[in-house]
Amino acid sequence: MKKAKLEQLSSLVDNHYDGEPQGPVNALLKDPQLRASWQRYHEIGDWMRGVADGEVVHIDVANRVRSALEAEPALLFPAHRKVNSEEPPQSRRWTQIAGMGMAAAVATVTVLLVQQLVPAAGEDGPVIAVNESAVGTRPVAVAASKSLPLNADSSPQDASSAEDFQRKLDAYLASHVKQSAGHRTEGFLPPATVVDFSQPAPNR
Amino acid sequence: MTKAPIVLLGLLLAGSVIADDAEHWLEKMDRAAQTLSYQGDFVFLRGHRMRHMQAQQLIDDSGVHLRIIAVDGPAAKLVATRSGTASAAEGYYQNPPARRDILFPSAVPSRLIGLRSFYSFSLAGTGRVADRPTRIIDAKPNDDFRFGFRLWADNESGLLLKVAMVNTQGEAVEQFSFSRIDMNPDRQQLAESIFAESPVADPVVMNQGGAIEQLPWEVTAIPSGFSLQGVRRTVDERQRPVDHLIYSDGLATVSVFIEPLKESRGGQQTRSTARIAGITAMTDVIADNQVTVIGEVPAATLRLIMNSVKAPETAVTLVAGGGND
Repeated sequence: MKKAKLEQLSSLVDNHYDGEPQGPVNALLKDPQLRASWQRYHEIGDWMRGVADGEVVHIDVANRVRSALEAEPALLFPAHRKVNSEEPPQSRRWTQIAGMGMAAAVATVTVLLVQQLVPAAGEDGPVIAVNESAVGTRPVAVAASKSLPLNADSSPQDASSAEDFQRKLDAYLASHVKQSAGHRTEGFLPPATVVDFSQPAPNR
Repeated sequence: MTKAPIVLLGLLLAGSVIADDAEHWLEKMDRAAQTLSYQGDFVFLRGHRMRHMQAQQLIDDSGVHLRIIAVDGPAAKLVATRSGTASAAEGYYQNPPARRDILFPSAVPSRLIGLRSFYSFSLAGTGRVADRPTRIIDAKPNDDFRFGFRLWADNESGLLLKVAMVNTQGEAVEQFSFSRIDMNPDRQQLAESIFAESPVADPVVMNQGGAIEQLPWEVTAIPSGFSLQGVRRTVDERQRPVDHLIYSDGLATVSVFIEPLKESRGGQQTRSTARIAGITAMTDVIADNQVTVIGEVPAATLRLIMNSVKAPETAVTLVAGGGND
């Protein structure tokens, strides 16, 4: 196995890869040795971060979120037309930022899918900060992530609300995935593939 | 001058033939998924998340039998046998999916065929997946309300070997690909492996609330091809009702969650949009209720649905006034 490929892989795992991720990802898909290395690197990374096998440790979520965004997938074919977007450019940037929070939510949901609609309070998960604004006729992209400060006029009540909202999003996503299982789940995977059997089943 | 219409007609006919060819490949993929026994390894990639799975499928006189296990990450297993049921060994989930919803080689082509009026199909060259030559087929949406797909079909058998879901920017947001496949497996070993798994007779049913027949809320604008699949009501940690409307076109699902705002929030409103890979979420406040729309669809679809959610009073007023819907 070429050293260069391993270095690329290591950079990808460590979130330091500067180029297009398509190349190493494609190589990963084709090469069992590279996949084994990928798995090993992640295990090492998990161990260094103190993530025991099978445990749900939310600190890992932030890294995965960042990686998920930076490893944005390859361009396959150009859009057939421009999307009729009503969002201004700034809103799109906010949407990207908000994606970090959503990715965290998705990661949390995936791991905790067997948990009930509302996750336990007090979990140290990522927060989607919610911008409060006046009533409008259209929804507007105004979400932010925990890595950004809340609005200057945010109050503790806002922060509490943001945490509530993040928990709700987690719960909504879990419910959405469960209920859409009959149609399409986790990229056409059966629902069982996102069930973590190591977790106890709540509220049977 | 008279040649122009002929040339135009020729081009149109050529386009038609190409479209037919692509649809032919979709049908070939669907057929292969129903008739081929195989075993192989596949990977699922969403953003930076990757999972490795093993799939085994056996076709015999009694039908299609399959077994899927996850070989990394959380243990996961699914077995569907001649009993017609699909279940997760030692696991907990309810509502086992219908057989055609389970495995991607059959679900995607057949669903695309069913939604052919919403997609334009075209051949996009050749490729190689799992060390086998493939034909590439693109399914581009005709509107802005759904994502597209690129499919890699095995040249020889037609079996779908790889799928990518493509967003409105042309980016693959999810990929699903075989890395190894054996289309001539030892059938005896295959049967032993699949039937050794005893389906869970009585899957654990989780607390997901109950289905309700009617909801006072009304969603007046749904993209063509989507329809209401179900309505459920759960309660949150404060015992407030959360209504969940589920729409689908067979490939994508959109959920609409509606719950009353906290009284303490008064007139303040909460609105946001978020996106990760193929899933987008949008939230807004309508008539003192928090409405959240989530789905594997473009934001335009969520916006259309969100803007058409009518509160009970609104709906009643409109009906009573006999005005526009």
